[in-house]
Amino acid sequence: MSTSTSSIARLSRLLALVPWLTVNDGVTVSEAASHFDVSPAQLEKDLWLLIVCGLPGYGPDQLVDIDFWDDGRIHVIDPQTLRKPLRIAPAEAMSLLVALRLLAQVPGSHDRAALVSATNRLQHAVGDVDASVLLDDVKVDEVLSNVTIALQQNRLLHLRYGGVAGDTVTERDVEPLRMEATDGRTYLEGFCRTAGAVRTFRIDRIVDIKVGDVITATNAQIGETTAPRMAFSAKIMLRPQVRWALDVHPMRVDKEYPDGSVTASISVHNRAWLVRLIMSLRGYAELVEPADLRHLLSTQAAAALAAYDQPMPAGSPDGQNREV
Amino acid sequence: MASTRIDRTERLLNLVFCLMASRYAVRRADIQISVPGYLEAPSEAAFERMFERDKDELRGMGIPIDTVTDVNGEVEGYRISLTDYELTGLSFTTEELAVLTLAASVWDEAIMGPAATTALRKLEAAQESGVSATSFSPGVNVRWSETDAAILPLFTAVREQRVVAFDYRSGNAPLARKRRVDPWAVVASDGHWYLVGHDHDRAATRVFRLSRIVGTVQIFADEQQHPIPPDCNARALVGAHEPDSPFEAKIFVRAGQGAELRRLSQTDPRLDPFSAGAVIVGARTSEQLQSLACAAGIGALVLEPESLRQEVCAALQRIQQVHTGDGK
Repeated sequence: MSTSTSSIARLSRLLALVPWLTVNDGVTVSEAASHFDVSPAQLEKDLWLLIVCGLPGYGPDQLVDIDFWDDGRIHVIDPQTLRKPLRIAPAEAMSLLVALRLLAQVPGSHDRAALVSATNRLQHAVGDVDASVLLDDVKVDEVLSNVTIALQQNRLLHLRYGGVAGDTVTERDVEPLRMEATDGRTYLEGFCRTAGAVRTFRIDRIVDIKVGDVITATNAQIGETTAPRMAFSAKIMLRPQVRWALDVHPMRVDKEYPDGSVTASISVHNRAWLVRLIMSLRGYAELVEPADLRHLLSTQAAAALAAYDQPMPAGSPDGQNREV
Repeated sequence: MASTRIDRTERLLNLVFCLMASRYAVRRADIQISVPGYLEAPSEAAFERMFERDKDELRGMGIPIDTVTDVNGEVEGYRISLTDYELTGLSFTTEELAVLTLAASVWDEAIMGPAATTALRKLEAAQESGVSATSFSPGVNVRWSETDAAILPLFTAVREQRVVAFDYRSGNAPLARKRRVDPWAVVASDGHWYLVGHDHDRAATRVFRLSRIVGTVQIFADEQQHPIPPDCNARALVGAHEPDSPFEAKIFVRAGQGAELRRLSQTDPRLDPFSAGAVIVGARTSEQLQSLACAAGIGALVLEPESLRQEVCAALQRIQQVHTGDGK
């Protein structure tokens, strides 16, 4: 971070810190530090800086006066002109309002009344975003309405699910825990009885759904969530034909070549997903690392290719009655 | 950095106090003398540069610094009006603050994260004594982590109806070209962000994908020349940006496999997920169909058209070949 952005970020914090400490009289240094997401040492530095700043003249009556040494608690004695925080800038208001809209779209047990009233109050003060920022409407289809019912009534869900990574359809009994939305996609998090663990299901990959009985006994641990998946880095060489993949997936370009090829790195959570990605790039992408997946890719491609030499399976024009 | 030097944050903070303290404009010369740090500037020109930069950065943060001029248009000095500076009259309940806290966490590591957090900190600091967010465990977890740097300046430009310019890499063109646009709306669709607006050079309505904007977005002081037409449906324009599916294929999927192809299939009635059978899948391009068939691997077999069969076989051969051996 350059000194310029860091001093602006620090100034922004100081301008909010003084009025916040004024209304929250008597908080400790560590409470204030955790609220502003800085270390206690940094917060103390901030306080030391504040008390040497103030109005021109810089006499005792002109400086910011904060007491923070008597009992480890912070008391603002004179904030000078910083009684109130700075107004909210347009981009800041938009960031918060768009986030409120995203929250409103997702079904779940969050406080809807507070969500609506907070949004209205903020919009009233800073202006509406309706015309200028548009989000996808969440389609409340059979799947989503059944998930909502099951969450509200604490009922078991019976799912037929087409996995994102594996491309196979599985059947699962799931105890729904909560809704998640990431980058515009909606997920159900639940305890999967079939797997015996908490799993995340992408809503648009649920092929079929049935609401079951009320859950009376559960094996799910309270507060248990999906273990964070371990990410690893993959290195891919993209030919000009599939450069567009840089747009679709969050990749970092490592090197550009004169013919338009690039090598790029991508952070991946799931090996099966990576293999599918490379397969989908039609041989115009080469997986460089991890090297151990290269063999799997060539075997899978060979197996898929071999199937084309077999007799046509059922459902084909000249193979209606044949079995695979 | 030597400890005797005045820290930049300290200089900026004292400058803010200095401009807030007076009901009248503060002259440049007075600022130079009274704000610690400016006298360290080795020359008058160096002070001017320092002061201009500080002023720009404070304005960039949203601090309303007025330039006060006399009857002849000469700059008398600068001031910050407390009325324009202070956030007042926005009080929230503890439940509302809890929802706002949840909202500020949506952006995660994304570019909007710091802006939303700053807004939240300001709102909290504007509350009456004792009002703070109730702690609770939300039944939802909403995250949007992949956003493009262009989004914040575009939010501001759309809201203030200002003209913008940016370098844009369209489609398969390797080089970015400068575009000048009246921005109308920022649209999120299927996990991606788009800008809809009037393109000055093309003299037409255009949809831009934010991830293809290269470098920074310039915002001009001038108002939009072509404001948003009342009948403009920005969402529909973004939808139309993704053309329909003129290419079709008949693909055989094995029992319990090819979940993605099954999901995209237009076959009616839908194939039972655990039976093998043929599905009809549509796509925008033949390449897209090839991608889908290749990704399904052994789980899928293209039946028709014959040209697609051959292309998929060629693609599978390439995949096999480039991944033979240890690579470079």
